[in-house]
Amino acid sequence: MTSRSVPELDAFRAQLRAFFAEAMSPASTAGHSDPADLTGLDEAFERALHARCGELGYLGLSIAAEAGGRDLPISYQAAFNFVAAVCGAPTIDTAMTLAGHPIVEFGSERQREWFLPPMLRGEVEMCIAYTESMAGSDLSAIEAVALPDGDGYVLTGTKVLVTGAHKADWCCTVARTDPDGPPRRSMSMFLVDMTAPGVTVRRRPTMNGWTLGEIRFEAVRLGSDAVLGEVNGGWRQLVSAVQAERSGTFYFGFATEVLELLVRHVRSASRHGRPLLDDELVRDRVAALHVELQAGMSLARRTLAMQERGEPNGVYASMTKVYATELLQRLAQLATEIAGLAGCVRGELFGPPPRFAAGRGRFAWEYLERVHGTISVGSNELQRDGIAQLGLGLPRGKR
Amino acid sequence: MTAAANSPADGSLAAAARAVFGGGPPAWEPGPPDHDRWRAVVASGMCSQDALSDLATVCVELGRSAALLPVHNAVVLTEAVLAAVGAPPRLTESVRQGTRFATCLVEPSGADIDVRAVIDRAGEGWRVDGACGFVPGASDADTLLVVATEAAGVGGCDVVVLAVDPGAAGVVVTPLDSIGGDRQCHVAFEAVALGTAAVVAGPLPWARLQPALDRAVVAHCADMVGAAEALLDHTVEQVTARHQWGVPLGSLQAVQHRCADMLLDVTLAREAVFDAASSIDRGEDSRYHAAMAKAFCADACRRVSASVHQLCGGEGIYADQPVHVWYRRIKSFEAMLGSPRDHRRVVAEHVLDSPG
Repeated sequence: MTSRSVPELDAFRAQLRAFFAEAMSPASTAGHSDPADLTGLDEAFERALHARCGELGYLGLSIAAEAGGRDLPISYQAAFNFVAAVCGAPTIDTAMTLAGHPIVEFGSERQREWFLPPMLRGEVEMCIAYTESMAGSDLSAIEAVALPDGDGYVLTGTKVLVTGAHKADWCCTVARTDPDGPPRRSMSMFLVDMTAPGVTVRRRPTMNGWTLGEIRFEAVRLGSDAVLGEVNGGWRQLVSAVQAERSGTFYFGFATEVLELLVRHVRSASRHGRPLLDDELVRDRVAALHVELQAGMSLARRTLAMQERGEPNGVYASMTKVYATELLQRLAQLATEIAGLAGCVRGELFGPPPRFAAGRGRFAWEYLERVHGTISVGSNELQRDGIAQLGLGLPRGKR
Repeated sequence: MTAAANSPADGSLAAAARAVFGGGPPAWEPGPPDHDRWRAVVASGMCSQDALSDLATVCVELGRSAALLPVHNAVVLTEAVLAAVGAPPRLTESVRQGTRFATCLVEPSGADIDVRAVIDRAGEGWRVDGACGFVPGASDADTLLVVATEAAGVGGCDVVVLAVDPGAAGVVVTPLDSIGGDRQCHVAFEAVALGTAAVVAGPLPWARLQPALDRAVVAHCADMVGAAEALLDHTVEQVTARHQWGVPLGSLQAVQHRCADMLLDVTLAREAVFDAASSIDRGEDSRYHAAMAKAFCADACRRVSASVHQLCGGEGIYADQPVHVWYRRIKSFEAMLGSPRDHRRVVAEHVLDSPG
């Protein structure tokens, strides 16, 4: 994200680095460690940071001006995500990044007026809840229903694997509004108040300590104004909404930071009495990772450029996602391998530095963390199907 | 049909081991091991096999069960070290009676993680200074079995094996959040004063310990194979049961190919382990054979563990699911007693540097 940039973008990036250096300094994050949250930080810290970002206009960088955004090219949003990821800032998942796109695209005027200003100000948290236990890769198989009831609907169902459900004020979800209709033309998107009667969240720890949410909707009454977009048009909207998450930039921010930690480790550690810096195999493998990371960032830049020109970019977005998530896995393996036993001692993201751990325990954290990246947001298997079929025109046969 | 069904080692010993370690999916319970369970495992004698092939068979089942018990260090490595140095039989007896040992050992060439215990004769006893890293179960141990050097830690020097009370003045045990749930600790010795009774054996050449290390390495590999086989069985169950688009995930070509690769990996890894074990039982070069096993198994089993997660999807990443217990376990063996690369170096010497 450096050499080939426009000067204004560079200045913006510098501004972001300065902002996050202060906002995410040890002094700022002290006392806010929360290992049960994906971000590693507690809700109070996140909400405060989102509000600060909102004040600075950071939350709607590439959103159209008429929707309240700053109408900047998408590379500005990407730069924000990249710097945030490098700094470990909890601003990858904001209400705007999670639900901004569907609300801007499909929201009624009233919904846009009601939701967007607080979302842009960073005053509201959201979650998106699409997946169900029987509908993962195949989202068209969802079973949650929102049965028409007078003017509104009654929503019943359970959503799983929801990031940030425990701290969300609102939820963007999908349910069947026409249970007898064809699977892809019978679901609708809804915006649900998480404090509504009948909404319960169960937090379930993942293997890396932070929780995902399971949201149970039990006869939740929704008004007609809770429908986001077209009734029974949810599937089309879902496909476009899921596509909006595939920019890939923030993944490379994580990789940049972890590779930097690995470089620092290599520069300071020894093995069998020899500095790692002199170890040819270590040098070779670190160099290889650097090569792969730069290639990935080039691909992400190209994907962004296509998005900015309004060109179809689904295949590039898929390739970026596949490449970035697998790169992060390779990096976690390399870092723990190079760091050896010390690399397998885990630390919390913002906890006290664990003793006798390499990279402050981040390498082991990464080894447990990067497992899900190739599964979520469209599994890499599905992404490869799309790359082959849309990217190369290969015929869609049996899976 | 399971991955292990075709294995030549599946017999009464494997079944008996399985009964000792318990069936049922592994649980992530990294707290202090249950004392009664520990005594039962040790009293069964299951982990104290003479033949390495038999120990490997048992450790495959241990890996399958993913039991978070310090068997590898407290029994396998401890007993192997005691045997290698000709320690008094009462020590091995006490292992079998449930006394928990933690063997504190350093890499042959020293300075792997800058840890060693140095002995200094002080008056009529010994003074131990230095540290050992990543010792599984040290904070739960009754006795530390410490391998210490007399000189300032260079490969090939003499070592002394000492039995140290973890509560002795100057012993500092620091628990680490080690990824495998094996409760590794950093053990520091600050001017620990010991009487001559603390000496279990030595001074003796470091090389005497090599067979013990090799035995422990092969046991690790067997454990990894068991964990990988269990992971594969779990995966087959999951992708058979889970349906999307009206078909089982297991009917999809991408899934089948990945599962086939997993079967290849576990099958080859099993061959590598039992090849090494039986070669060593026949008296062949244990260092080379252990290195061969570790160099192959660590990477193969790790690949399997990564593939399992991919195939078991979102549900598999939860702490209350079994996948991560095996995943973490396999990873934790990778760096222990030499990385795959360290072992490939041994193999390279054998392949490239031997005469003729």
